[in-house]
Amino acid sequence: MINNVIVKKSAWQKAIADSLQEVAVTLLGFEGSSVLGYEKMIPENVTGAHVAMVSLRDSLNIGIFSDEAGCQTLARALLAMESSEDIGTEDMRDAMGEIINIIAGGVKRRMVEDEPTIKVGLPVFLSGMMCPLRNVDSSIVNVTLGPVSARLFLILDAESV
Amino acid sequence: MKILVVDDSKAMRMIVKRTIRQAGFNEAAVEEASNGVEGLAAVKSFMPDIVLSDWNMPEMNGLEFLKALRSGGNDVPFGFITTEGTPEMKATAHDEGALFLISKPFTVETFQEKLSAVVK
Repeated sequence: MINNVIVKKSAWQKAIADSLQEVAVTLLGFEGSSVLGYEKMIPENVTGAHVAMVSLRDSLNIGIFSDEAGCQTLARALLAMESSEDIGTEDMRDAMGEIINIIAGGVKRRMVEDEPTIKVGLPVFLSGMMCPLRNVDSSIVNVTLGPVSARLFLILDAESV
Repeated sequence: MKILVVDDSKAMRMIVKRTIRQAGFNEAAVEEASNGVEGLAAVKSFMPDIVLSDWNMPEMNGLEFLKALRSGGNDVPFGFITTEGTPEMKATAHDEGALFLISKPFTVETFQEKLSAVVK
C-alpha cells in the first residue's frame, strides 16, 4: 500500500547523492564524491547516461553526465583499467549505463519505503542535447567523483513535485 | 565448476567474471549471455553448475528466465545479481527458486559466501 508521505524533490536529491557516494567508493574505487553546488538549467550539450524511474505517483529521470574524457575515466574506473589503457566507445557507453543503473538501484533501495511501487527502466546513453518533452522540474547537481567533474541530473515530472 | 553469467551489460559481465576470480574461483569456466533468451540456450549447451543473472534485461528478463528454466524442469542453481535488492524482489526471487540475490554494488566477500555454498 502506498503511504501518504509526500516525497519531495530534496528526498530524491539526497537519495541520489548518497547512492552516488556508495558507488564512488565501492564500485569505482574512489575516495568518495562531493556535491559542489546546484544548477537549474539543463546544459545544452551533455555526454553520459540516464535512466527512468517510475512509480504510481512519481516519474523521474536521473542521469550522470560529464565530458568525453570524464566518461572515459569513469568507465576505466568501473572496469579496473589503467589510465593509459584505451577504452572503446561502446565499452565506455555500456559502462556509463551500468554506473547510472547501479546509482538508480541505490536510489530505489533508499526510497522504496516511501515509494513502494518504484521501478527502474533500462539505461540510455546520450551525447548531445537533452530536450525534455514534458513540463518538468529539473535540478542539476555539480559533483566530483574521484578525479572527474560530473553533473547529476534529476528531472521530475512537474506533477510529481 | 561451470558458471553462466547473464547480463545485458558487457561491462557488468566483465566485473562479475573478475569478481568470481577474486573470490578464489580461478579454475571456473565462465560463459556469458546477454539476456534470458540467450541464457536459456546457453544453459542447454554449456550445462552450468550455477547461473548468475541480472534481473532487468531486454528480450527476456532474469525472472522470466528463471521461470522458463523451472517450468522446463531445469533446476540448475540460480542466483540474481541486480541493482534492485528490495525485500519484495528478494522474496519473489526466493519464491521462484533462486538461491540468493546479490545487490550491486557487491563485494568479493559476498561472492565467496554465496558461491562457496553452492560448490561445497
